[in-house]
Amino acid sequence: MKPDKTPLILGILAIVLALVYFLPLQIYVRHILILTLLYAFLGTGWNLMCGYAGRLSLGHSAFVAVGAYTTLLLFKDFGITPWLGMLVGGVIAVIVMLLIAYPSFRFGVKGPYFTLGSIALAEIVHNLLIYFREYTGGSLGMSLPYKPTSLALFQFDGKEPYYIVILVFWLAAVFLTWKMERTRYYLEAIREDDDAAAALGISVNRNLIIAACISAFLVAIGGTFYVQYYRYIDPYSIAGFTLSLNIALVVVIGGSGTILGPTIGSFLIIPITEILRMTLGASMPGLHLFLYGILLILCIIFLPKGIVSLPGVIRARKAKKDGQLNQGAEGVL
Amino acid sequence: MTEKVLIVDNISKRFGGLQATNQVSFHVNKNEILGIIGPNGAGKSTLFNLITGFYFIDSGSITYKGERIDGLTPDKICHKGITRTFQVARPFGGLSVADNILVACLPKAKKVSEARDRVHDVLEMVGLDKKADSLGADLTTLERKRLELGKALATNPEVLLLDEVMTGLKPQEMDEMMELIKELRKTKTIVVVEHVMRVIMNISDRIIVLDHGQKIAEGLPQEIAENPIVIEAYLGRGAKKDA
Repeated sequence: MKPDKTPLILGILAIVLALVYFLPLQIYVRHILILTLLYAFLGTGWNLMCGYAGRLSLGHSAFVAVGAYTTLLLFKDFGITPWLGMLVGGVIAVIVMLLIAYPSFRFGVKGPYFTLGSIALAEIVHNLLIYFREYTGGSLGMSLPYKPTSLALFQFDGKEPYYIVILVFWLAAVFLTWKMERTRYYLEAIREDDDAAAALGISVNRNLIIAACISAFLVAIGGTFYVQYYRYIDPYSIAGFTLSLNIALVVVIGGSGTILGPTIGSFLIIPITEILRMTLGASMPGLHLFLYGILLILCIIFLPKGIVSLPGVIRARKAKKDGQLNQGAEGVL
Repeated sequence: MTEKVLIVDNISKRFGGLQATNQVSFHVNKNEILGIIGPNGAGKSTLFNLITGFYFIDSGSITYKGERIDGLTPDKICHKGITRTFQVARPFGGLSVADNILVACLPKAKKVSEARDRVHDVLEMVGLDKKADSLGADLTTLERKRLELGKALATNPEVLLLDEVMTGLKPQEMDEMMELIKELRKTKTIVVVEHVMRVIMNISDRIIVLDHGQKIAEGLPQEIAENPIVIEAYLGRGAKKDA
């Protein structure tokens, strides 16, 4: 069996990213890096349930919204520090997740039906946020009251501290995924065939629910980061379908059901989208989305298992070529 | 006195208008091979599904080592020591053969490394050690059958329920599989559902016969082969007269 290289790769990646902190980067570049790490973090959370266990959710923005709104409301109305609000938001997200996950898993709802359910959940959260406008600000959204730089209040004037925070969050999420080795194997088995998994002594519902809860918790924490970083949230951007879809795309393109797939996908997609938007957004609006679509189509055709599978695909191609060459040689002899 | 490991007492199961299992009772002794035969649709696989908790029984009881197990979920029953294979082999297609076995070793292992240490032995036992890195989806029918058995063995069961492991195999492969099952009986109790008469007559200590969800006969292989009710169930009324 091959040795597990994940900790080594993860270690190198973390050190490189930590060193990037000291580079004199433009603000915009730093912003792209923060955004990339945020998506890598959200994707890592999404991946646990949707990649490993194959219960595809296109409604994870619901949990981002729960995390963000909980943190902001607790801070605004009760003065509770966002660090604590973040945990409360995580717990509420877990409860919301259980409301949909428990009945779904209990009655074996999967495939497109589960996905539709997840979309409906996000839609409900979206509409509730608009409906309770006295508390949430409705469609207009809400701003984070400004406070000068304070670690205790999770607010900073520059971008650098946010970079460190999201780097730590991302590292923790990837490390957690790596540590859950047993659960990962169980989830993969459940994804492939849940009856066969149960026959081998794997508790299908228990493992699915664990994955779903951790997934919701992590993504809600991402929501807290979002509101602290952007200082403004509205239902459309934070509970909308676009965010859910982007989280899913980043993971699918990077390689779902792998530890580093979400990170790799994020580092490819997010900077490209941002750069395209920056360079072409003004002169040819919408072109960046067009190129983004082409990239996605190419990925699905040539790398259906994500960019993570690239080395394997190259190796298999080469082996096939060598095989053909050998066959040719035998023919000559 | 031989110990009765598994006692199935008067169980029934109905799916809508179909009585799939009708007041079936039997027991399995420790370290014996019990064969279950019956025509298509006789309820053999349903019986396995009932014992392993994939379906719940409507009435009756199933007792394993003195403890009621009806009403438990499949994973709990597997933990008690009963593992089944599926009639149509169900490999985890997206996982490698080695990972298929690893997943099966895991639930009873304290550490992942402990499970990993067992993978090679299991692969060797079922003759798949050279296929360790192939994907489950890429296996041939025979290899799938072997993997199905390997996964069941990896859970280290005391009672093994084998659902048609011979179907689709060539005569020589059947002989190999029979040798393997005879080897396994030294440490395990085995219940086999099988269509291939040569196999079931050869390996079973006792046989029960199902037809339309009911047990119609029980006995030694020789008795079963000569039982007129069994012949009628298989060949239809009047078969004996023609013969």
